[in-house]
Formats: sequence, structure tokens, C-alpha cells
Amino acid sequence: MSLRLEDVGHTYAIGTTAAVVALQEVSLVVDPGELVLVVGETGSGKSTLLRLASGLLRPSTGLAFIDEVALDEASARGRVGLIFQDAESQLFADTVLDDVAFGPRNLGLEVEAAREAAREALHDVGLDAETYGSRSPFALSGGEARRAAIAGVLAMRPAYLLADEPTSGLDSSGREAVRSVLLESRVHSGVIIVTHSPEEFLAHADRVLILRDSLQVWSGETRTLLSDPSPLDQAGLAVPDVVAIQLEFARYLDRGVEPVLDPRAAAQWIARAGGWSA
Amino acid sequence: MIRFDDVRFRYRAQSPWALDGVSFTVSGGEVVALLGANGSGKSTAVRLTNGLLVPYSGSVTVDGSSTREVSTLHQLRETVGIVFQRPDDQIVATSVEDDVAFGPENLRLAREVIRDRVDRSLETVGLTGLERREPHLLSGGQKQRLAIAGALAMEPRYLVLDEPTSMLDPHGRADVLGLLERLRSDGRGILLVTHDLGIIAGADRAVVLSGGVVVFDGPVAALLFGDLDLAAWGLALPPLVSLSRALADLGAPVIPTATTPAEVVGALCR
Repeated sequence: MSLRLEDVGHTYAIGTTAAVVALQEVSLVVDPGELVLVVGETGSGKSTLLRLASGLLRPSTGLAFIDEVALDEASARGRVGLIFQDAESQLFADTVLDDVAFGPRNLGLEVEAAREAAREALHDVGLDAETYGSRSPFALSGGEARRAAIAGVLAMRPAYLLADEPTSGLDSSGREAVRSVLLESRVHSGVIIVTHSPEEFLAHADRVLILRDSLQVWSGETRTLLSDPSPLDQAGLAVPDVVAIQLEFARYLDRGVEPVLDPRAAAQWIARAGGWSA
Repeated sequence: MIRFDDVRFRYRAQSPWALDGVSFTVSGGEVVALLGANGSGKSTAVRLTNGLLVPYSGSVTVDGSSTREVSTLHQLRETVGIVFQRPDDQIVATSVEDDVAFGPENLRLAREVIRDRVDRSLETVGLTGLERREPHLLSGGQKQRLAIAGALAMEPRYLVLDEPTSMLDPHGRADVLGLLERLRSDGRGILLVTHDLGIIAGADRAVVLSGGVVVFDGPVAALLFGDLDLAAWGLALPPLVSLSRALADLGAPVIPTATTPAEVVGALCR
């Protein structure tokens, strides 16, 4: 069971003078329960990769599989959930409950079954259906609206969940809420998150894929990347400050370190290594 | 100067006050960070700066003219440029250059002047070369730059930016922050509206809204490094500041106002 891309590439408007190569030779695997982070600058091909992984686009080159069958719009239907950037801008129904139930209805569920799926999904994102279900989606705060939109995807119980910049534009409480929703969704799904600010999810990611100018420039385990984050830097991405500080201090002390992302844990290591605390 | 004086505002007669007695100023040559969680009143304040909304009581004045004065409203909109949070909502044309030209064309400027402003604005935000691109084909970050270019082309004395870096990667973010520096040294006044404490190190002052009232107005360093309960205002400390604070608690040497890794490491290695 996995969502698998093998050497996929995509060229928009292929065969015309307007052809744009958006992605080349990228490989990625996500299994249920895993979190894979795809990072890269604006325009590096991240969103194209998600469209390929969700079956919305067919690769121009390479192969894509979902649970060992060829991935396309039909095989992905209901099994791959895609959370678009600014997902809340696609809310449309009169009530939050109807909006969230729209996906399951589309998959062929009866009204009441779809609503039940919607209630569960709203619960999962921390929006109680009793309180929020009858409200207009347009009366929600930014963070609530984003979570309602995510619930619309979760309600289809996708085996694979893909999210494009899921926390952008949210304040700290909104980010935290969305972050925990996505981390918890690993119970049902393999998760791919695309972002240009990896810091939020890095601590929980199993693997990281770095894109630059449509090419895969690095791919591997998160802890390997934290020990040597230079690929982030080379791809125009910020090395988390906390990691940079630990590595620089370890270099000064001429000793090794396995950097962590949590500021408190990092401070404890620094204080011990520097002899300021036991 | 943009001046909020005891401003109260609500959207409907019975609804709670979105802003409840808010006062602050933004002068020319100054970057003021306006901070707060979603729902704190930030976006309402943005709409009050150029008369899109007018206060229920109190006043908003720009260089002395009240936003209530209908006769000067047109001029006010040229004096205060706003870049809204969602670039998609403010893109109007079918090509990048036409979109940037839209505002100056409405000012009935000469064609060469418009051309010049469009070119300079696109260059400033780093979109040169994409003049003919259809805006809907731009990435999120590129759209955000386009929206800023559209505001710059109006050459406003004050620029209000609502979460201008939310869709940008670190390079884009650094570019926009560098741009704000240049506009400041140009004598323009900037209101940088955000909830991201990681981008305000370069601001002259921070104003924090919580529940429609100003709960902090002072230097950025006092906000980041003072003993304040930022979480109560829905704000999160940048990880680097959290690390510095934790180091200080553990007895390690720190520069209390460090905002870069190099400063933190410098103090440790002394």
C-alpha cells in the first residue's frame, strides 16, 4: 500500500511554443501513517507535484501508482484528498455541514451518511458539528474556515492526504490547530505536505524532498537533513534558526550534534555542552 | 501622519466592537508593525486607514484630513495605498503589466509616465520579465508581489500591507522586507500588518491589538524580549527568541535582543 511516483515529470502545454517544464524526474513514496514533506521555493514545481500525486494531472514522463495500480483521476477518486492552498476560498455552501458533506455526497453517499461523515470530519478538525454545522462558512474566522475546508477533504476518508501550504496566512493558534489536524490524520492516511517554510512540520516528517527549478535536488530522512541542512540553503530555503545555532555551536566546540527543532531541548543541549548547566 | 484617535468601530449595530477605543500613529519614514491574532481587529484597522470604513466614533486622519471628508476621499486613496491579504481579490487585469497599470491609468497620467511606473514597480518587486504573463498563471508568491507592485505604481505616501509575506518563501520574504526598508528611507510611512513576529525585527515600533484594543505600543525589542504574555494575545515568539530565553534561564550567556543565529552563537562562543 503506497502512493508512488517514479521519475515523474510534467510539461504544461507540451508540444507547443508555450511549453513550460514544471517538473522533471521526481520520485516519491508515501505509505499510510507517514508524513513526507516537499519543500522548495515559489515556482520550484511543488504544486505541480501535488497535482500529479492527486491524479489531477498525468505525468508527461515517468509513472505514478496508487496501491500498485496506475494513478489517474479515476483511481485517485475518493482515495487521494487534496487540500489546495487557501482552501477556504473554495467554501461555497449555505452551511458548514453541507459544505463538508459535499465531497462524500459526490462519492455517492446518501444524504444522511454524508452528513454523518461530515460531522465526524468536523469533530476531527476541532469544529464541533453542533456548534458550527449550521453556520455559514463565510461567518467563520480564517483559522476556522481553513479547518472547515480541510474537514471537507477528510470527510472522504482519503487513504492519502495531500496539502499545499496548509498553514499559510493563519495566525499562531490557527497554525497550531491545522498542524495538529494534519499530524493526527496520519492515523487514517499517508500525508504529503508541500511548503516553503518547512520548520513547522519538519520535526514530524519521516522524509523530506527538496525541489529547485523543477528538479529534485535532495531526498532523504529528516534527521539526515537536520544534521547537514545545506541542501535547504542551496535550494533557497531557510535553515531553521534553532538548528543553525546548534550546528554552529557544535562546530565551535569541535564535537558532533544531532540537532533538534524544539527551542527548549536545543537550549538544554547547548547549556550542557557549553558547561553552563549539568 | 496616519492618526487613529480613540477609534471605535463595529460592523452591525448589535455586534461587539471590532475596535474599541484604538489610538496609534504612523509617521512618514517609519515602519510600524501592527500585530494581533486573527479576529483581533487588524483587518478592520486596515480598512479604516483610507476611508473604506469610517469610525463609529473617534477619528482617523491622514496628514490632517479626516477619512470622513467625502471631498478629499479620492485624494486620500492616492495617499494611502493598501495591499490586501489575498492577492487574488485585487488582481483585475489579464496581464501582469495591465494589472499594475490599472491604478495609474485611473489617475489619467501620461502614457510614458504610466509605462515608467509599471516598469519600476515590477522591477522593485522582482517581476521584470513577466509583464505579459496572465496573472492567474502566477504562483501564490508572485501574485503577492504583483499586488504590491500595483500599490507601488500609485506612489502612495503611506503603504499599508496586510500579511504581505504570508505566501512568500524566505527569499521573497527578505525581498519584501528589504523593499520596506527602501520605502522607509524614501520617507514613506509603512504599516506592516501581521501576526508573524519573525518579520518585524526591522520595524521601528510595534502596536499589538487584542480583542479590539491596543494592548502594547512600543519598541519591537520591548515586545520580543520583555516579560509579556504574548500567547494571551495570540502571538507566538519566533523560535530563536524562545531559544535565547531558555538559554538565559539555564545560565548561558545571551545577547537579550539577538534576532540572528550569528548573534546567538557569538554570545555563546565568547
